Amino acid sequence: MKRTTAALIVTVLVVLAGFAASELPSEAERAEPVNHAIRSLADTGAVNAVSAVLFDYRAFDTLGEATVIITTAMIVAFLAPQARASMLSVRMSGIVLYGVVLLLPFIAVFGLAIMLYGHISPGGGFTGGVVLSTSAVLYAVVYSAGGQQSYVLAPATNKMIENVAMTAFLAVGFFGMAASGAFLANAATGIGLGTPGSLLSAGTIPLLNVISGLKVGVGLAIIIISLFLE
Amino acid sequence: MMLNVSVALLCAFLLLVAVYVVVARSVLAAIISMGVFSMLVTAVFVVLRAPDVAVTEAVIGAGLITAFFVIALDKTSEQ
Repeated sequence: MKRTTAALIVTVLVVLAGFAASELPSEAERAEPVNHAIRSLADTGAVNAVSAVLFDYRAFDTLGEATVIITTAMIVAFLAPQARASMLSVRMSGIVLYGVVLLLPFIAVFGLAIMLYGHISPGGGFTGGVVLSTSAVLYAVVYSAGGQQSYVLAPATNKMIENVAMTAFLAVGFFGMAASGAFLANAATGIGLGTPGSLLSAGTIPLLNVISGLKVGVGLAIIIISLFLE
Repeated sequence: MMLNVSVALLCAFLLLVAVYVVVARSVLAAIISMGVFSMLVTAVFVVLRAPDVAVTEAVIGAGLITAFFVIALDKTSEQ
């Protein structure tokens, strides 16, 4: 019985794949040079062509990348034993404890700035997320010595943010589909592209930047903290 | 002209640091020089006008990877 259902599912998928393959661009279309860099400002309103490609032309690939991060975080959080949290053998000295207090706000603001200005200046969602996760890890590493764990965000909230951000990414995708028939569409959805270079320009790109930044930040924080504090 | 001179200089220095990573006596010295290696790679990316890649490399290469290895070293060194 199980074998027949499996065979049935496979045949359905093969038929669907056949339909998809038939819609691939023909030889002539593929030959026409697609130069994203030149058209990116006009199409997406994002000054930073890299984030235009990442979050508009290739937003679907970024969705896949975000899924990779969430699965890695799940696997690592699952495998790393939570039993004993003997973090570092050494107890942090006073200089470190008070130095980090001064350092953390600047790291967090730097991460947010990179994330929010992703479509204008270099950087963007992923880089800003990594900087944020560095600040979370720094806090967790320095302040949780000898079994007493202290986090910027409790692990449960971390995981909740991760899932909320993932569904938000999909929601933006389906909003694009609802508004203009194409998953993760940007310019066609009618959201104003704004004046290039202003903070609220380039349609859904800043939104996707923030969402993927949150995801990467929280995901990496989960991975690193569960590895370090196991 | 200035561009490839600075890139050549940076790459030469990169090579030196890479060799030092291998021949370093203590593991900690090797890890720290890997961080230096990442910073130099970031400098090369900036000189070659690839700011996005430079920011990512700086944050991940110098930031996270070095932290990972230092913590791993501390956890595996016998007390």
